[in-house]
Amino acid sequence: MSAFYGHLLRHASGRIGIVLLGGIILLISCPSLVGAYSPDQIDLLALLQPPSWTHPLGTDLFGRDLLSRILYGGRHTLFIGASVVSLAFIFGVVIGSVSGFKGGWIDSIAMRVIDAILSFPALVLAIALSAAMGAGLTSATLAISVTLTPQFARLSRNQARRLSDMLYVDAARALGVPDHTIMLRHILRNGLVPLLTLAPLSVGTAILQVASLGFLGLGAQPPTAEWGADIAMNLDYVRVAPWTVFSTGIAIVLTVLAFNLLADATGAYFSPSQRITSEANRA
Amino acid sequence: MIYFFLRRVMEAIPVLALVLLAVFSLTHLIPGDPAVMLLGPDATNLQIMTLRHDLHLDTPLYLQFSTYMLQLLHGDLGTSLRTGRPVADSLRLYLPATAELAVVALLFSLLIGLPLGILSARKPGGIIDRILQLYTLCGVSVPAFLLAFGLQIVFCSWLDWLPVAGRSSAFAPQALTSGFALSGALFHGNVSMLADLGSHIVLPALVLGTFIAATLARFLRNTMLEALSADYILTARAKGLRQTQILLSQAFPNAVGPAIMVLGVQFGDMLGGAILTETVFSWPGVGRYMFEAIRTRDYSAIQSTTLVFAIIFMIVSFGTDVITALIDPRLRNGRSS
Repeated sequence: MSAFYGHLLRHASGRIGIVLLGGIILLISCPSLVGAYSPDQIDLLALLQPPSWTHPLGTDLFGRDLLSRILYGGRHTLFIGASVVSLAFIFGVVIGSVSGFKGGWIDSIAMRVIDAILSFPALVLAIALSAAMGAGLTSATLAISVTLTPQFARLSRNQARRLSDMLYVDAARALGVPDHTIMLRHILRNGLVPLLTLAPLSVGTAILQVASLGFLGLGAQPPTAEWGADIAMNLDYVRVAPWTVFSTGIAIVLTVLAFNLLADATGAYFSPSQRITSEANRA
Repeated sequence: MIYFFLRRVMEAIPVLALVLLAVFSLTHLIPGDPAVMLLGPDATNLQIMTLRHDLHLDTPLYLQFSTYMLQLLHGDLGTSLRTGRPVADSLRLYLPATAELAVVALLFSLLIGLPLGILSARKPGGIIDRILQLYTLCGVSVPAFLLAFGLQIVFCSWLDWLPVAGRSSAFAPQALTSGFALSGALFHGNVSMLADLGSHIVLPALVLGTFIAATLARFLRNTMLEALSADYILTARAKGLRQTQILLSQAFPNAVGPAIMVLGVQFGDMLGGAILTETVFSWPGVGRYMFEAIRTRDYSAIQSTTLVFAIIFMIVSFGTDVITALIDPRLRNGRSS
């Protein structure tokens, strides 16, 4: 594991990614460091102000400080991104390891379900699910995690299939160890490490989807500060006050970029000959 | 080949059934009583009972599903709560615009992706390869709607070269702007119409195309490099073939199959991106229709658009699988997932 971190630090994009992500996390955890204050404070005398000393990134259509909106919104966005991936990870690993270990009809059904999820364009499925469950952060989180489940399910299924051929699993079976114990003790514990390293890398994809849903009016509802929703809110003023949309947009790009840079470095660690970006992540 | 085709069809059937089941259950995800949710808080008991009856909510689930399937088979996608018109009619009206957008976007992605992929494989680590690396990174990090705004501001507000939104200028006759307008203009050789429609389609198609091009180029580069390390390339070099010939006539045909497969997978992302892009550019397509449906909580329209998108995506994946199998005989016998 420490070899992995060492590699991340040596790899150029890994280094940039770590610094970028570290900076973002530091800023959103202590917004007052850069003079950000309440994201909900309305100043009707300063609507859509361009960047200035009092408002380093300008103000939005309600006169709220954009820097504060972005930093507090970042908490929501990052938190949702992380929750989406954790949920998708849990769904995926449970489905994948059960179907990989049990095989047979359970495996066939589970894999057809995964195929069905993949038959929908990811964003379309996320939209449909979260619209049906009612707009809000919880339903958006659930909906996006469903679209990210297949990649974890397929990976952990492959792991489970590989590991259930191992001699020590045969030995455990011969000793009469019940199936669920074998799965927890042997399959899951041994198959989890590569999955765990890959999980954080999907956060970038998740954040993009969260922002897209917010942009479409699903996800976070006003006045909650969230990046996609904030962009949608300032949309009508994009031509008179482009900084409102672009400062928030740049925050999204930088955050997703940080995760994708780390994904790049991790990809290089696992297959040094072919430096794949986050294709696996998106596909 | 026939065997491959049939097996692929057999694989698709259970998945299609599950997709239909999933789309059907969307209405049942609506918290509480869908009829109450749809009618809002001011509905009378009679209205609620009537809608429950109209939506067949008062029958058992399996009957509801079979009714839904029967309706689908008759091309009935339900009635939009927003417009009061059959959803199928609206989709028929908007699909051509989305189809033309998708085709032009695919052309753009091929025009950008193929040369970039080949050139960066020619010299891995070189300047073009570096540019590609940066481009791919941006491609997976920039939200589609942000790129759309950026292009709008640069090309429409600052430079004033291209129209901001819509599918054609307001003065164009309505008959020419609906349906397959662009292909119609192309077919009839109507130059002024073509220029007008073309100037409208460039930006949205570019937004959709650049994202796919990034992944396509990246993937093609990797498969090209793999192909270039094969023995037959060494033979070709020993025979004295030029580098360009080796790249284009030896490595490329062997590398392009998997890249096309990726294009099929990316098509799904493009459909999702179409919702965002069409919204920004007021493109009168299915994506924008879906956006309007989301905004007004028009559930039957959301449900049907989802189904249409899924079916289009399934057809495209099916098509790419068949095409790659035609190109590469090795894939016919066992596909790796």
